[in-house]
Amino acid sequence: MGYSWSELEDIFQNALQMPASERVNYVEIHAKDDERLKQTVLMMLRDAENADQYFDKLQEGIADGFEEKKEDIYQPGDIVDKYKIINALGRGGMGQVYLAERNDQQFEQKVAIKCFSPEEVKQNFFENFRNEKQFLATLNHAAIAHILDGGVTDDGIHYIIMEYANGLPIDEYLEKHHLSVQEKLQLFLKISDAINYAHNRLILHLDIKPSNILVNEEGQVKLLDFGIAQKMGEPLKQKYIIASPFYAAPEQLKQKPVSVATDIFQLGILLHLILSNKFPFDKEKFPNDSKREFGLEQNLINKEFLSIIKKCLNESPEERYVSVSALAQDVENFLRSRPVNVHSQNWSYFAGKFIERNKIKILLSILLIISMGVGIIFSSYQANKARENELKAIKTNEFLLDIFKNADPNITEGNLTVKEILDNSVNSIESKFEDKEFKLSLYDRLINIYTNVYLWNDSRELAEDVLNRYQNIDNYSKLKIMSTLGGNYRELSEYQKADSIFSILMQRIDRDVKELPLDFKIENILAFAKSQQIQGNYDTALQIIDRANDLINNKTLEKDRADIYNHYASVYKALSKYDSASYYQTKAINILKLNKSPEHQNALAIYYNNQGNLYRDMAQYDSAIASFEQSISLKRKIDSKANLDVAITLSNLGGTYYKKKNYDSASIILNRAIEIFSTQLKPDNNFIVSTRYSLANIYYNQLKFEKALSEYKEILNADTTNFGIDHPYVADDYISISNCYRELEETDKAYEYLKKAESIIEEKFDESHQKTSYLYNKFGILFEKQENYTMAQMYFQESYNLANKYLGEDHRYTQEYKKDVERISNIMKGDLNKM
Amino acid sequence: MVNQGEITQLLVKVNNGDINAYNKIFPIIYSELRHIAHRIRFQYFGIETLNTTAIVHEAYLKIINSEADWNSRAHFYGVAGKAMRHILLNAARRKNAIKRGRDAQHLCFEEWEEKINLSDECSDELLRLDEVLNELERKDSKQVKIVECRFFANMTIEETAAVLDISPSTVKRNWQVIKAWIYSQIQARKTA
Repeated sequence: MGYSWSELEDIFQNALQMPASERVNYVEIHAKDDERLKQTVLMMLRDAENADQYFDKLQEGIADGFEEKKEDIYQPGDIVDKYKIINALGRGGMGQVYLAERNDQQFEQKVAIKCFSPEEVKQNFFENFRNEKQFLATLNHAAIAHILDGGVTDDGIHYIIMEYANGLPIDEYLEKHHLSVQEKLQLFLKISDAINYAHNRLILHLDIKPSNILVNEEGQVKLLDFGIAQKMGEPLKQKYIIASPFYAAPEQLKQKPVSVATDIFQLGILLHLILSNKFPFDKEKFPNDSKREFGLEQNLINKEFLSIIKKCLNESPEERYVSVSALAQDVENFLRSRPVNVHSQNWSYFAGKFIERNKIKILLSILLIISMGVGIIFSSYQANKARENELKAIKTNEFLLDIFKNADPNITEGNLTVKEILDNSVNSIESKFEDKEFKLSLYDRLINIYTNVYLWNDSRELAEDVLNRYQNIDNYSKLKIMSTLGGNYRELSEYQKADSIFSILMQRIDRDVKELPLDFKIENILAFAKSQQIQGNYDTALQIIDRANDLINNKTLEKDRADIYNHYASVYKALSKYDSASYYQTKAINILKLNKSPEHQNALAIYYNNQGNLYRDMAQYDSAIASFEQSISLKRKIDSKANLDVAITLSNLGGTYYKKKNYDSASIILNRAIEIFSTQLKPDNNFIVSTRYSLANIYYNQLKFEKALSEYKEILNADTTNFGIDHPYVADDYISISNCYRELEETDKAYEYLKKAESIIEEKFDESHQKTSYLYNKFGILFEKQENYTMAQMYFQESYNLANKYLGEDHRYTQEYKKDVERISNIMKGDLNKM
Repeated sequence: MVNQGEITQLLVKVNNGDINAYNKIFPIIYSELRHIAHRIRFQYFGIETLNTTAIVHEAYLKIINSEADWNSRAHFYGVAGKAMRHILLNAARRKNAIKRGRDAQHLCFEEWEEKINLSDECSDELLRLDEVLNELERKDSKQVKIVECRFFANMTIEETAAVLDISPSTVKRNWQVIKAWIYSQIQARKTA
C-alpha cells in the first residue's frame, strides 16, 4: 500500500516552506527509503503550479461539454415566409439568427430572422407566441430593432422577422473608436432613451448587454432582443429567468420578480463597462461567490459617476433609480456640468424611500407636530397666534400627506403596518387632545391619509364616525371631511350616499359664498357633477358644472379652470356631442401643458387619457393611442410603479386596440390592466368590470360566444349592483348578451334581452341619441337572423333614418346601417323574384 | 416528492454520517442535477460559461431555495459534489465506449448523460481523474470529499470547511496538497 497520506502531507508541506535549493535534500532525508514517496513528493513540488492549471483546464473542458452543439435550423437559400436566408448571423442569446432578404424581388430589404426550434419553443414556454410578437411590434423607436413580422412554419419552427441592424456590439465599437467621455455618455443616453420608451409601454428588456447593443458607423444605436426575455420566458409573475449571470440583477439571480429596476441595474453595469471597459466586480470570482462584491474603477471613472453607477447597482431594487429617465437626468446633468441629484431625487422617489425607512418616525413626527400645535394653543390663549401655528401645522401635514401617497398600507415596519400606525394615530388624537375643533382638523388630515393609501373603507369608517360624534360642530375641517367622504362613497360606488353628502355641501357653498376658499368650492361642485354624470344624469351634471363655471374669476387657479373644462368635456362626450367635448378637452390640456409642477402634470396625464377616450369614441384610433401613450408616459414619470392610474389608461389603450380589431394586443394590455387593478380593488369595482367588458367584447369578436356570454352575465350582475337596474351601462350589457344569444341561435332569449335594453334606452335617451339607432339596428339583425325580413327591413330603415338625421350621413355608423338597409332590400327582392 | 423540511433534515443526517439518509437524498439531487443541466441548455439566456457551478447552484435553488440557512446550503453542496462527479464520470464512460466502438446503448446511460458532449481529451482526463480519486479514497477518504466539494461542486473554502467540519485553513492546506498529488499521479499515469 505504500506511504500514508499524513506522511506525504507532512513532507510536502514542510518542503514547500523551504527555499527551493534545500527541498530535494529534505525530501530525501524524510522519505527515507520509500522511493515512491520520494518521487511523488518531488514531482508534486516541481509541478505545484501546473496542478492549478490542470484543474482549470478540466473545468473548462467540462463547461464545453455542457455547451449545446446547435444544429443549424436553416441553410443559405432556404425560404422562410417571404424571405430567403443569406447566411447565419449567430449573435444574440436564444435561438438562431439569420440574415435574409426578400424573396419576391418586390423591393430590396434585408432582415434578420430569429428562429427557434420546436424543442427550444417547448423549453421556453412560448405559449402565446403570436400575441407576444404583436405586442413587441408596438415598439416603434429608432434605437430599437423593429419587429416586422413573425409566425410558425409547418414544421413547428417559430420565427420573428426583425429589422436588420448593421453595426458592431457596443464593446467592440468602443474598442475600435476612441470616444471621449462626453461621447460615450451621449451613446449611453441614446440607449437609455430607447429603454425608457419601452418601459413606458410596460416592456422590460432584462438582458441588456453589449452583444445586444449594436452601434453603426454613424454612431446610431440599435437595441436587439427587446422584451423577448420578458415576454417569452413567462413574464411578470414569479416564474424565474436566468440572465447572463454577469449582467443579471440580484433579483434575477434570486429568481425574484423583475421590474424596471432590473433594467436599471443592468444599465449600471453597462455604464461601468462603457466608461472603463471593465466589469464593476471581479469576473473571476463571480458567480462562484454567490454574492457579487462590487469594486468600481475609482481611477478610470469620475467620482460623480461612481455614485450614479452605485445607485444603479444597489442590491435592493427599491434603492435604485425609480426610472430610467431619472437615471438619464443625472447623466445629462453631469454632461451639462450641473450637480448630480443622486441623493435628492424626484418627489415620489424621496417620499417612497422616506416612507420605507421612517414609518415609525413619521408617526412620531405627526404626533410631535400635533402636540406642539396644541401646546401653543393652550399655553398662550392667543387665538391669532394659534391659527397661524395651525396653518403651519397644516403645511407640514400636507408634506406628510404627500409622503403617504405612495405607501403600501400592508408593508410592515417594526411589526406595524402603515394601517396600524394610522389606526394608532386615531386613538392618540382622541385620548390626547381636548379641543374639538382642533381634533376635527387632525381627523381631517388622517382621513385624507387613509384615502391616499387607498384604504377607502377605513377612511370612510373614520369619517362617518367622526361626523357622527361631532354633529354640533360646524367648521371648515368638518366640510373637508364631508368632501372626502363624498368622494369615497363615489369610489365605493355608493352613489346615493355620495349625492346626499354633496347636496349638503352644495347648500353650504351657496350659503357661505364668501367664507369658503374658491378651490374648495369648485372642487366639490365638480365632484357632485361627476357623481350625477356617472349615474347618467347628464343634464343635471351640466347644470352643476355651469355653477362652477360661474365662479371663475381672475383669481381662479389654472388647475381649477382646467378641471372645469375637463368636466364639461366628459359630459359632452357621454352625450356624444364630440365637437364640444373635443373643444373643452383641448382647452383643459392647453392650460396645463406648460406647467411642470407634479400636481399639474398629474392632472395633465388624466386629461390626455380622457382625450384618448374621446378620440376613440370618434373612431380616430391612432390619435387615441397617441394620447393614451402620452398619458402613460407622464404618469410613469411621476411614479414609476404600476399603479391604478396607469392601469386605467392601459385599460383604455387596450380598448382602443380592440376597436382597431387588433385583438391580440388588446387582450394582453387588458389582462395587464386587470392584474394591476386586482392588487388594489374589489373584484366588482367598476374599473375591473369595465376592463372585463372589453375583454368579453374580444371573445365575442373572436366568435367565442359562450365564453363572452358568461362574462357579460357576470358583468351585468356587477353593473346592476353598482349602478342600479336602469342605468345605461346595464342596457349595454343587455344588448351584448342578446348578441351572444343570437349567435348561439337562441333567438327568443336574444329578443327578450333586446326588449330589456329597449325599456332602459327609451326611458333614458330620446331618439337623437346614438344608442337608439344602435338598438334598432340590433333588432334588425335579430329579425334578419330569424328570416323575418319585413320586420328586419323596418328596423334597419328606422335605424338608418335616425343615424342619418342625428349623426350625419358620413358617420361610420350611418354608413354601416345603410349597408344593412341595402342588403335586406336585396334579400327581399330575391325572395320576390323567386315567388 | 420529499418536502423541503425533510430534505434539510436528511442533509443534516448525511452530514452526521448517516448512510441511509445519504442513500435517500443522493438520487433526488442526482436526478435534479441531470434535469437542470438538460433544461438549462435550452434556457433563453445562454449562461455564458455553463459550468458545474451554475448547475449545482440552480439545483440548490430548486431543491432547497435561497432562503435556507447557510449550513444546509453547505450540506447540500457536499452531496451535490458527489452527484456531479457521478454524472460526469458516466458521461466520460459513455464517450469512451463510443470511441472504442463499444455499444454505448448497452451500458444504459441516462438520456441526459448522452447529451453532455465531452471532448475525447476531457473524457480521458475525467476517467483518469476518477482512477486517481479511487486510489485517494483508499489512502484517505476524507481528502476525496474535499475534491468533491472544491472541484465538482465548486464550493468555496469556507463552505467546504463547514460541510466537512474542519477549519478553513485545513481545507486550504489540504486542497493544495491534493491538487499537487492528483496532478503528479495523473502525469505518472500518462508517462507510464
